[in-house]
Amino acid sequence: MTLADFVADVAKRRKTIVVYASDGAPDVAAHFESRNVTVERKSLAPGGPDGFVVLRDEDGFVGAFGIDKFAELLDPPLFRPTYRTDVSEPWRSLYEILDNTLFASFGRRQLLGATREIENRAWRIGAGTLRVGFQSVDALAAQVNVYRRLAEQTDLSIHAFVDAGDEAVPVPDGVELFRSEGTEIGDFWFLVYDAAGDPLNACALLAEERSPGIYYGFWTYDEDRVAALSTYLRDGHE
Amino acid sequence: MSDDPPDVLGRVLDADVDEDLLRALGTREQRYTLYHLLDHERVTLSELADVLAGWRATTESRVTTGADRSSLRIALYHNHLPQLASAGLVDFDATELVVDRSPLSAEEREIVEAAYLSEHWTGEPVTP
Repeated sequence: MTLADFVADVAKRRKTIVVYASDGAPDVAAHFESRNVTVERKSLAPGGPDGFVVLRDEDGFVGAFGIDKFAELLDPPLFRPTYRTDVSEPWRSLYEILDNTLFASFGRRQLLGATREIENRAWRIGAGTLRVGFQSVDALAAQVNVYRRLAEQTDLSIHAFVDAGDEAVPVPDGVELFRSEGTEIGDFWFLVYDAAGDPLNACALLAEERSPGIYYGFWTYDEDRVAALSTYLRDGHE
Repeated sequence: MSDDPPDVLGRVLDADVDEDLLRALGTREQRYTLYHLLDHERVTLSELADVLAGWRATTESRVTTGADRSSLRIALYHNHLPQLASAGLVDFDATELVVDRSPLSAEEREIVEAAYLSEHWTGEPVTP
């Protein structure tokens, strides 16, 4: 298992949503533009029963939802059941789509937006472990103030991973440093926050710099995926 | 759209309609197959099973699963499509698994359309 495998795993779970609706029906597919999902639209004759949405994966049909129910579900705040194991398969697959956002070419500015979202969430909860990857000593240096504040004002365990040789690394008190040289840490921008086991707040961002300044990866609110990433980093890089 | 449902029953009673069409309209799976063919000339069995599972989700206010869809597909293949085909209402290729719309008379098409438009009011009862 590598960090690249985590990205590949999300990418290969691409699903298809087929929206059956008559012309002029609300466009529920618009909610899915940034998701890891292919959207198809098929027509229904006007004036009949309400339309519906069919969800398919690589094995075929997963489930069908009435379009009203589907649209309701997408109204923010998104409804997220706490105990997902009790949820039937079509819902699980739908939540998987909503939980995982795959992006193909993010610049630093966009990644910074997602990064701040995770850091803010960690600051609000104030407990649990936040694992952060820095591709270089400079990248960490640029964020030192943010992490000093997080360490001083919360009970978070902050683990910083840096691609660094022998050079001095500026680390605020309360931040635990894990350095490595020439490993995958240098290729990835990541934050993994376990929210102290709170399934509704666990989140992670994992992005590989595939060409200079251009990133490919995902962010997720899927607590199982976050837990797997936490375990992977702990066992492989701490 | 008018506030009142189209008077399907009145039309059917007034017209000299083939009994096969009435029987088809009285069977939910066959009725919805004819509805879908109003807007599509040709459909695969696979898509038709998706569509019937979708409409079942709408009419029963629930999410339909792979098991629902699978039993619909089996019933379509073994029961509903052969019946519709022998009534001359569709053309079913059981090898290629493709369903083609049969040319309906103007009156038959009008009745299917009227039934489709009235489905909002006469839809299946909602079961929890």
